[in-house]
Amino acid sequence: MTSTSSEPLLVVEDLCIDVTPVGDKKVVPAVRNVTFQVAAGEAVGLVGESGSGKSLTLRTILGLLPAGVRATGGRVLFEGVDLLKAPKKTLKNLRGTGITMIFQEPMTSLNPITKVGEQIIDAARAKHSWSKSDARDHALRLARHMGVPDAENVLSLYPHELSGGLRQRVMIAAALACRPKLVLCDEPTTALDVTIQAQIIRLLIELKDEFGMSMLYVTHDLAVVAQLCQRLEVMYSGSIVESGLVSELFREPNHPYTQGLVNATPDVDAVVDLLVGIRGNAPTLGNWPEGCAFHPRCDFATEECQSGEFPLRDTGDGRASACIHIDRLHESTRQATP
Amino acid sequence: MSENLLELNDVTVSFMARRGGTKTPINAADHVSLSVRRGEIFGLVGESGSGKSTLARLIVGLNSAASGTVVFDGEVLANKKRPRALRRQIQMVFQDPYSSLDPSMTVRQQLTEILKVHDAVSDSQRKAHCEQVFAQVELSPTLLSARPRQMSGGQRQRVAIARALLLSPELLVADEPVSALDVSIQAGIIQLFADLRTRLGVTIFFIAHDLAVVRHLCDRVAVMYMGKIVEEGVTSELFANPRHPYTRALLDSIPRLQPEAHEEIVAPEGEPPSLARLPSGCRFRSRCPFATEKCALEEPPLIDVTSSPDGSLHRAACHYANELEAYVGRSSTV
Repeated sequence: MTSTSSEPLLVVEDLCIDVTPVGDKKVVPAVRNVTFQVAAGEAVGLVGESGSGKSLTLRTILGLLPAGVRATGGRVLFEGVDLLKAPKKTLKNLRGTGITMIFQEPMTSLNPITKVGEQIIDAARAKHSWSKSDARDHALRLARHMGVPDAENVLSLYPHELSGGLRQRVMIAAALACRPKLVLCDEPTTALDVTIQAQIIRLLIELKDEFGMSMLYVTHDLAVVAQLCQRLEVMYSGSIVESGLVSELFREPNHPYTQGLVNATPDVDAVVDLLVGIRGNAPTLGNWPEGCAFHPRCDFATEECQSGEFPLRDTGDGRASACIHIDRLHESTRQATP
Repeated sequence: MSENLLELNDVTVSFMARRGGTKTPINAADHVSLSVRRGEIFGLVGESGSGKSTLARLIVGLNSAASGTVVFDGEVLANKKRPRALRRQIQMVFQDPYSSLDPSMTVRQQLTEILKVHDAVSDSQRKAHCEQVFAQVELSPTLLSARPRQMSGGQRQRVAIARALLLSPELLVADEPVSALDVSIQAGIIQLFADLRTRLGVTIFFIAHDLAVVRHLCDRVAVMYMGKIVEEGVTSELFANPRHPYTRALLDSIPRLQPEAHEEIVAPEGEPPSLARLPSGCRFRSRCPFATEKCALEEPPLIDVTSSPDGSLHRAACHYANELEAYVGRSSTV
């Protein structure tokens, strides 16, 4: 799916992020030359395992990098404005109305000593010159919209008095209080039970369609992306290794890492004889191998893979892969599934 | 030698919950009975607060039962202060190996200490024994001199499993051992549990919240909800023919990789109630699409499911377990 409007809402271009570990002078790359786009109304999944750089990429967009982490190159364009160079004030104005973020753990992102209703009201009033009672009505409507039962009562409670699922709904309400154009999601359902996760996913799908928001969804869970997103970017060791439409990407991955992830995910609808993980371990920060970072764990790697650069290359149909052995990958999957 | 290695007979585990200054007892596990056969991998699934970890800790002696008995190898276990010889027989693997291993000791030191305390092997054999157990969990012996922080998450979990295997237990109690791992690593650990059962014949009590993992690994499964077992049966039968609405809700809630299922995510209504304020009758009725008046009045017992085609034991705690329509599920691709 190419973007329908002329200019995508968010363009991330050649983004590089460096990390300086605490008590260390050595600078270590954490994200290398990451490029992707999010069109208006589109939901894009950013998938990877721990240490892949997916969360850092997400946080860079709103200027929320922790101490010791710095974007060192590239551009992050939101409606044409480069957020990496923009003054703090521009970012501040954008937060809430332009871009907002939903975090994994609502307990740490909600204020523990303020009633949750106040927090939604504060979020709304920060950008609108509403009276307190108008904002209160708005918060109530919003909370009901998020499926908060008995909303009036819930809004007068403190975060610790709510269940995990309710806290997540309240946080989403606060994040959406100013009708943002782009919602950044950092694993918002990972800490939830599966029945509650299903409710939140359904809610996010409804909200996206209703408000026409764009979504950039970071997760390690491929299946969640399959439910929520149209397009997918797969990250490994700080780089995007594959990108494309969700519907096609899982059917026939164009990168051995994506293939490995799909094979390693147990299927609740069918049992396979042997669950195959990816051998070895993901390299830690500062220890990325030369060449394709995945080559030490890859069944298709050749000498070529051990050095040089492996940028994303177009493979047609709006898909791209960083692998130079796609043919061999496809051949092996065809042999495996006659 | 009885067929069952472990039996829980009508056990209840209570905790005191503080609510606004007053203390009320809540039953984290409420009159639970189950049996684990020798050599099988028994799966226990449920969401947070269902009581599955409470049962795991009861089995290894970290929790006490308020009533009921835990029978291991035909012998009723004391709640606490179990003899050392018995403790060797039941070992636990925790979810987070980073907090269950000592950060300041090398792996070899930690393993050797256990061997010393239990006087399991002679001094001269300790080194060889550690290496042998390391081989069982497919770790290189060079990692014996590493500290936990020098290892990856998958390696640490293998060390935690090696620690549990060190005293050649008959029963391994694994509490969410793969939940904290990346998916590419998780698959290897799941496979390791399957291999250990085959190679060593060890019985495994496996706790998870991920039904896909359980389906893949376990011979039999029990599903818990709010302190009660609501359904149990042979894995293939339970997944193909779930008879409790909660089991169905769990299965329906799992996001699928197949894009065909894209728009079809089904979620049960509402949230689990608090253990201190359970609904009358069936605990799931507040979220159940099939609930009737009867469900509010009578707590459904675990009854045999008659439709089980292969005649294997399949029980569900629902008044309508035998009347629910056949389960269709979401995926037509199976």
